[in-house]
Amino acid sequence: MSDAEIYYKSAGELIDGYRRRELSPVEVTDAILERIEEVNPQLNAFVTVTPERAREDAKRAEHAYRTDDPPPLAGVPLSIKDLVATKGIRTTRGSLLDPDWVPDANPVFVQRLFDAGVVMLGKTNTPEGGWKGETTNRVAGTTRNPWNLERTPGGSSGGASAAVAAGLGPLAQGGDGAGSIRIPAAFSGIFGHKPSFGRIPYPGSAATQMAHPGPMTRTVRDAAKMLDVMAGPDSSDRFSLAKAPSFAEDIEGGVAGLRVAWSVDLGYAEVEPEIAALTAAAARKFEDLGCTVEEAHPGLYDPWDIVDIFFAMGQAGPVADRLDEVGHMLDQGRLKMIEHTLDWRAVDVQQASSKRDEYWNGMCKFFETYDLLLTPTVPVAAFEAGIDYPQTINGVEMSYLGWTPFTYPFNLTGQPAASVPVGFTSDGLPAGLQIIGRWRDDAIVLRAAARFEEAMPWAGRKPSI
Amino acid sequence: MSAQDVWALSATQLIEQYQAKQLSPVEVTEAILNRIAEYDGTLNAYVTRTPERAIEDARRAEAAYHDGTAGPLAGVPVAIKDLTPTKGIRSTFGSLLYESYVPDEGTPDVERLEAAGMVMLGKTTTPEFGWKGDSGNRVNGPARNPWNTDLTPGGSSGGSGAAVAAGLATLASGSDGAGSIRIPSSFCGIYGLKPTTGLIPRVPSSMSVHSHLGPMTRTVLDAALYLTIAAGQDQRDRSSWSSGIDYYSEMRDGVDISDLRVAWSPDLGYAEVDPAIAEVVAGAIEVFEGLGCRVVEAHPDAGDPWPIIEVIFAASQLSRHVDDLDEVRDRLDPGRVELLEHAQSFSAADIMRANTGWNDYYHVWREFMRDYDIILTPTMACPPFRAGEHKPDLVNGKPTTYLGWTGFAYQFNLTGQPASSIPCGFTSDGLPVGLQIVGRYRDDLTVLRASAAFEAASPWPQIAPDYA
Repeated sequence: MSDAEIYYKSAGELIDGYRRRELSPVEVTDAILERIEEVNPQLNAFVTVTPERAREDAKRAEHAYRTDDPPPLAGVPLSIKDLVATKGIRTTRGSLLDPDWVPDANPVFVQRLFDAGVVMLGKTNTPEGGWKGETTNRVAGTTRNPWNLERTPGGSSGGASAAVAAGLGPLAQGGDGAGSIRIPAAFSGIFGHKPSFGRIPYPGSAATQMAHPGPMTRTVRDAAKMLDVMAGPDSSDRFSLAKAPSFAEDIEGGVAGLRVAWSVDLGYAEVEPEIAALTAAAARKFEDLGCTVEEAHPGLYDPWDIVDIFFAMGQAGPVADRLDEVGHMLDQGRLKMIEHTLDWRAVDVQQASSKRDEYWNGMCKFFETYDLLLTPTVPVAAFEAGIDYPQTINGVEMSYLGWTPFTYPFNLTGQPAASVPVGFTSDGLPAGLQIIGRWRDDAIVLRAAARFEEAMPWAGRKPSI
Repeated sequence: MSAQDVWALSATQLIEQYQAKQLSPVEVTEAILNRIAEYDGTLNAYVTRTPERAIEDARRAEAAYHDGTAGPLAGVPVAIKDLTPTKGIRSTFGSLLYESYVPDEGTPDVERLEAAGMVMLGKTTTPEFGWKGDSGNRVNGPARNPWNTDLTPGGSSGGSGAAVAAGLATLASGSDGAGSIRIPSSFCGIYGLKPTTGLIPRVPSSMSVHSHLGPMTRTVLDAALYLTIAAGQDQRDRSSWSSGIDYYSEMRDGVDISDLRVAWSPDLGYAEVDPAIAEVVAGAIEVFEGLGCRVVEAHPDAGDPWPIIEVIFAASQLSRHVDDLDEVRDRLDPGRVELLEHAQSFSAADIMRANTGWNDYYHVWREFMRDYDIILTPTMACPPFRAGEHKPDLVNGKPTTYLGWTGFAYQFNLTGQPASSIPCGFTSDGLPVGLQIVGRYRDDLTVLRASAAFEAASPWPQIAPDYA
C-alpha cells in the first residue's frame, strides 16, 4: 500500500483495517505525521503538531484493538482547532495576547474525542479569535488551500479544512460562529457539518449563542461517527440538547419523499455565476434521490445587522475592557470590528435579540413546509490567501462577512447546516452546496448529505500537493 | 365538604369525580364562574373573563367524559396569565398599548392545556409587561391578596395567585422572569413551580432565557399534572427540551425523600430577611429533617447576582419601546418609565459583562449542587406589602431597591434551576409564608417530590379564610 493510499483513508476505512489487523494505528500515524512534516511548511495548516502525543495515542490504540472492545475512534488521527482549549497542549487562539497558553482542562467535547481513542495530531490554524472567513493571524501567519496555494482554504476553521483536504488526518474538529466550518469546507472541497445549537455541549457558546463546534471530514459517514462521539448533554452547557439516537446508524436511511427547497440567493445574495450553476446542478440531483425539489426561500431579509451585533459582541467580550492596553497587539481588522461595538447600547443588543427571535419564527414557518433548504454554501470560490475578504462578488463590492450571506443566518437560528462538495470551477477550485435542516434534525441533514455523496461522489479527486 | 364547595377541589380531585360521574364539569365551571362574579370585583384577579367560552369548554368536557375521549385535564377550570398571548382572547400584557389586542396565534403551553381539555376561565391581572413584583397596572388596576385585600398578591403573576388562593380558578398559569411565579405563590399561600429553563416552551421564543412559564396550584400533584401536560420541546422555542418524564405518574402514589441531600440557607450569605419570615421558614426546615433528609446549612459563595439580572431585565423591558419611547411614554406605568430610563444608561458592553457573569454564576451553582439534591431558602424576605405599590419600603428595617427585595428569586432565573414556592406557615398577622425548594438544573422531578413530601407532612389551607 502506498502512503497516499493510507493517508487518504477515511476514519471508517481505518477502523475496519485496524479491526481486521490489515492496518496498524502506529503505521498510519507515522505515515500521516510524515505527510504533515512534508506538506505543512507549504500549507501552514497546523500551528502546533504533537507527534509524541500522537505516537503514544497510536500505541494505546494498537493495544486497544487487541481487546474485545476498542473505543469507537481508536487510532483515528484527528486535529483540534486552535481556538479550542486542549489540556497540556499550547493553545494560541491565533492571538499575540497569550500565545503560550497551555490550558489545564479540555472542554467536554474534546475530552469525549480523546476518550474515544483518537490520535491527537495537533492544533490547526485560525484567524485571531476566529474573527473572519480567512485564516491568517499574527502568531502563525497564513494557511493556504491545498487546491491552489495562492488561495485561502477559508476560515475560520481553515487550518482544519486544509489538513483534511490534504490528507493530514481524516478528522478535524471545527467551530462555526458565522460560517467557520462551512466556508472552509466549501473552499477546500471537504464535508463540514455545523450541528444544531446545543447538539455538542460547549459552555463558551452561552453568551451569544452563535458558536457551534462540529466535524470536518472527507466523508459524510466519518462526520456522523465523530458527531456521535461529540454530541450529548452535559451540565457544563445549560443549552446542551438531550441525547439523540446514533447519527452513524441513522445515516443509512433514505431521503425519498422529502420536500426540498432550493434557493440560489435567499432572495438577497450576490452569487458568482459559476458557483450558481454548479450548486443549481447539485440541487437538481436531489430529484434523482426521490425528493421533491422546488425553488423557494423563506422570504426573509438579510439578517446581517442582527448577526453583526452578536458576532462582534462575542469577539469584543474578552478584550473590550482593555483595548487601550492591548489594542496594538490585535489584528487591526479585528480591532476595528471590536471598536465598532463600543457605540452600541444595551438596548441595541436586546432589540437584536428580539429581532433574532422574529427571524427564527420566520424560518420555523418556512420549515413547516420543507424538510430541507439547499443554497450555495458561499457565493464565491476560494479567494486570495492573506486578505480579509473577497473585494467583489458578481461585480458587487463586498464587506467584512457580508460575502457569506448563506452561512450566518443559521448561526442565528441554530439550525443544522452542512456543506457538501459539488464540483470545481473552471479554475479548479471546489464549490460547496449547503444543506440546512430543521433545528435538532441533524439526522436528516446527514442522511441527505450521505445520499448526495453516493450520487455525486467527491472523494476520488485529490489536490496535487 | 359541602356539595357547593366544588370550587375548592384540586384538579386531580375534580378529574376523579368527573370520571366517577359524581361531578359534572358544567356544574363545577358554573360554581367557579359564580364565585368570580361575586368576588372578583374586590380581588381584581381577572383582567378579561371568558364565561361563555368556559361553559362551552365545560360542555365539551362533559361530552368527552361520556364518550370516553376525555383528555388529562378535561373539565378543569384554568386561568391564564395575561402576559401570555391567547388566540382569539384579548391579551393586554397589563399595558394601555395593548388594551384591545386580540392575538391571532397562541402559545404551546396553552395549546397543550386546551388539547388536554381545560376550561378557559380568562386572563389574570399582571403589572405592565411583568415589570414588578406587584400586580397593579393602568388597564384594570391592582389585583388584591385574598388573605388581606389591602395587600398585594405579589407579581407579576399576582392575578393568578389571587385567583387560585380564593377559589376563582382550580389552576392558573404563571410566568417568572425574576420571581414572578414564586413571589405571588408565597404571598397568596399557594404552590408555584418555576420549572427548569425551557421545560415549558415559550412563544414568542426569546434568546434571553431568564423567563419561564409554570403552574400555580393549590396542591403539588396538580402542579405535576400541569407540568406533564405543558412540558416538552416545541420547534418554536429553541431553548425548549423534553425530559421524557411523566411527573404526574411519578408522584401519584406518594413519595419518599429520606435519601435526599438537602442544603438550607436562610440568607444565601447576603440577603436581608424579616425576622418573622426567618422564624417560620426555620420551622419548615425541621419538617425536612423529620422526613429523614440530611439537612446541612450551606450556600454557594456566589454573591448577589442582582447587577447581572438588572441589566438583562431592564434592557429587555426597554427593548419593547426602543423606537417609540417618547411617543408612548405617557401611556406607560410611570414606575416602569423610570426603569426604562435607567436602562438607557446601559451599554452593549454592560450586556456582554452581564451575559458572561450570568454564565459564571450558572457554573458556581452547578458546582455547589454536586453535593446536594435540593436547597431550601425563604421564597420571600418579607410579607405582602400594600396592593398597587412597586415594592415594600423596608425589609428587616433596611430600605429596599427595585427588585433587590426579592433576594431569593432572580438567582434561579439566571441559573435556570427548577424552583418552587410551597406554603410553610404564617406570620403573626396571619399572612402566608413560602419556602423555596430549588433543585438541580433539569431535575424538576426532585423538586416536585420534595414538595409533595413536605405537603404531606405539613398541609396548608386550600383557600384563603375569607373566601373559604
